[in-house]
Amino acid sequence: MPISYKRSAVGEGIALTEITDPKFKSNLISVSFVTPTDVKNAPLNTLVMELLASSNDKNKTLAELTGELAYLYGATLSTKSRRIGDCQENGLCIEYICDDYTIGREIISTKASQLLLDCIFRPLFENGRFSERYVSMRKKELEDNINAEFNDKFGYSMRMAKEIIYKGEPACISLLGTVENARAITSQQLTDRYHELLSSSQIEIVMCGRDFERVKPVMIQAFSQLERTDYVPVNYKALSPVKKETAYERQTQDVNQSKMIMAFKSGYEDIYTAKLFTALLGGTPFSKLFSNVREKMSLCYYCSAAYSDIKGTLLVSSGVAKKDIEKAREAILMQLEAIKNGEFTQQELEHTKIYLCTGFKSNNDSIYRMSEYYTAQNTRGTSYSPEQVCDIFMDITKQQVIECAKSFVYDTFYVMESEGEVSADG
Amino acid sequence: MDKQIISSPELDEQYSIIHHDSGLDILLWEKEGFSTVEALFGTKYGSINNCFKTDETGDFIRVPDGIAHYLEHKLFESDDNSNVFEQYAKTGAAANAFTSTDITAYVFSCTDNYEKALEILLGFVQSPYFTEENVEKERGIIAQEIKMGDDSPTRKCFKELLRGLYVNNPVRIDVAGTVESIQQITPGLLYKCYNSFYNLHNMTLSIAGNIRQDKVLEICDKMLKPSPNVHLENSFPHEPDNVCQKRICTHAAVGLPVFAIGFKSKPLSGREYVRKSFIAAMLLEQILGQTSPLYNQLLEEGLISSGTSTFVYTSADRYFCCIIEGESEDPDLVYQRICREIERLEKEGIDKKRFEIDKRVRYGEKISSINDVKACADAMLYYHMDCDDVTLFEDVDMIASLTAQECQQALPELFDIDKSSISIVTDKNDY
Repeated sequence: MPISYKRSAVGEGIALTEITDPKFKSNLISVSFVTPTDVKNAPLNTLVMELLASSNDKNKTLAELTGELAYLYGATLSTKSRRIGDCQENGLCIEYICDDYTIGREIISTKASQLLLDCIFRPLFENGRFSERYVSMRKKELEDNINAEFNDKFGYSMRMAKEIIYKGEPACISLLGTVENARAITSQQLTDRYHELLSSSQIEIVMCGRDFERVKPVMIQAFSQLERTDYVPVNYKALSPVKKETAYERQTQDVNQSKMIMAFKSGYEDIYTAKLFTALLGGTPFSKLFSNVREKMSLCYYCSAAYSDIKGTLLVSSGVAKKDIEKAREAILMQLEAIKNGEFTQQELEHTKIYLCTGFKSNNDSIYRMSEYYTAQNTRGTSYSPEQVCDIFMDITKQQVIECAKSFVYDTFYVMESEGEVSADG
Repeated sequence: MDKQIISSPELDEQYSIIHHDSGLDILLWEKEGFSTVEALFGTKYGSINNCFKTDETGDFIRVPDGIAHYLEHKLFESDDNSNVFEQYAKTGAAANAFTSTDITAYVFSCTDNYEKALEILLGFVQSPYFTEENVEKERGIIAQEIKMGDDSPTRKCFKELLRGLYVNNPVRIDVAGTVESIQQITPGLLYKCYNSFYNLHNMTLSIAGNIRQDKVLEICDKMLKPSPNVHLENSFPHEPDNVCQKRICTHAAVGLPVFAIGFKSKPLSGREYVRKSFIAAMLLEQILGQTSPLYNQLLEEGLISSGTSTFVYTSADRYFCCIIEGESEDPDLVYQRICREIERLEKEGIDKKRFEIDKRVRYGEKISSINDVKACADAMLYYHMDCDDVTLFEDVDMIASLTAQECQQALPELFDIDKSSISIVTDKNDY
């Protein structure tokens, strides 16, 4: 576990999370702007982060900026834009090696953190707006990314499925938007959105690693001066309503393997029991889905379950031959029923708990995973260490898992079918 | 038992290489403060080893494409009808395996009970159990895996690039084989491959993290079954210097064309192999790295995206090529611009300032990788299996000793335009 975890307020709606552990030889600082997701702003938020990571007032070109990062022993500056339930998290992260491990103990931590702050607070503006040069470049890239979305068949099928699973909810909004929308975005819109993000979003600063003495005061100073008059607090938890009837959607695409996604929803309150149930169903290599649907029945190459506590939604995704879609669907439902009926041994349950604990404890060994882990804790308003979460898992009973399983309702069936093969049902 | 300690005072790290009496080489890295243990039990056996002989086989035999990968799948079954994942379940370890062109490895990751997990790993890899029934059962699953791979345009593009670059080298064959080739795999053939390549003299155990060396060795003493030398010999076809096809265009459902460009050069081994791999990576950085003028020009012109990547794809003694891959509306134009940039660098010379900065980048990457237990276990295995007597920490000094002149001299050899190919995957039939 980390030597210390601390969360403190830096300003109105601005929190600093410090995770320190001296075993690490590099550090990570991330700054995230969290907002409710909406159609208009989602692609703007994504683009603003890309622009901030393209240049700043000191390093006026991308080449200069990447050159400066390279000089800092290959420090990496990355952007993030992702969904957290109905919210969108956008941000910048910098990873750099600790001063103790540079050649001749050269101090780079202050330079790296200042570079991050320059990108956030001193973007390259021309006439009070983002530089047109980079706006058009990043817009083109956004357009390319929209066009290339289909290249990742798994990701694309998941996005298509979520449009049905979360129909009418912010969680189904594409963060990239459409090509037409991307083309119409202006530098002024992006500049306005940048200022809005600084003044109104929830800001999460996470520092993970060691030796933040030089860096911390500079970060706090920079963010505590922000004017936050328009701050909009975010509410992460937004359970997805269950549909009156299970939605069925089949799409045909030029794919070799059909991708099938099934969604189940529940308002079950204890998220750790729900996580354990999900793992028992399809989160381990000895889970019900893996050992039966894949191994014994050979119905699919992958078949696994994942749970979003924020949306109260369980997703079962699988890659199947078109002829096996119906068989696989029935087999998955049967495995779910088996858990609801208590058809699992105490040993299976204990093994699943141990497996989950391994995953949680292993977060301790990566600055990225620690940062992600505590970000997830922050979204729940808790600060459990991985070890504390393991203790929670170990206390969950079989009966609790059955009750939790029973609370899930079959909400959506989606399949992206291959064109070529013939399906069993015609 | 013979022990060698490899240490780096600068990085404040050390690991041990132990030549175990059973024939197995054991690599151990105790990482203080870390919670996890990562282990790999690997054999020098991959998709390229498709023609070989041993004392048992007599003459050379040619085995079906994809058999190394098939074997990897089947080793997870044991004779008591339980599968290995069920055995691991007691320990909490996450187990997996992978097959590449030249290595197959079985891995686990855990936080507690590593001793038991290690026993399971060493036990099942040394206990093959192939029957008509269980071999047949796997065919459908592997066919699905092959189809899933075909759905990735990036993977398809890279696979086609290798078919363009190489004329005879088995690297042009997909690791998983084809749906057709795996139909020929039988339990008898799997045993032949197993008995030939899964010999402890041909294998390495790499383990890093929250371990105690003496405990690991105690388990190895108990579990390892010394195997006789079977006098394994691989046979590889002659590979000419030229490429097979300069341009390959295939079609798939893609939103934006995907491309991969490769430059073929002679395979190398040992110290020269490691050194040239670094030089090649640094030259790729000069040509199309994120700090290069060409990268920034192409990005601003909208010809490439920031997802464009470069890497060196190698196997000691077998193949060596430099790769650039990405997505573009006009991959042919990207290729032309890259070739022009190589010609410019040959005439005007590489950017010496950027070259020196790139050395700092490589050093930083090394430090960051040591943060990661899995990266440590992986790196020990790769260096040991692929780099002969070069050890993991020597590359820090090797990078420091590289000169811009040495890189410049290697440019024509590593980036010979005549020995390059481009693979494009597009959905436009008229492209």
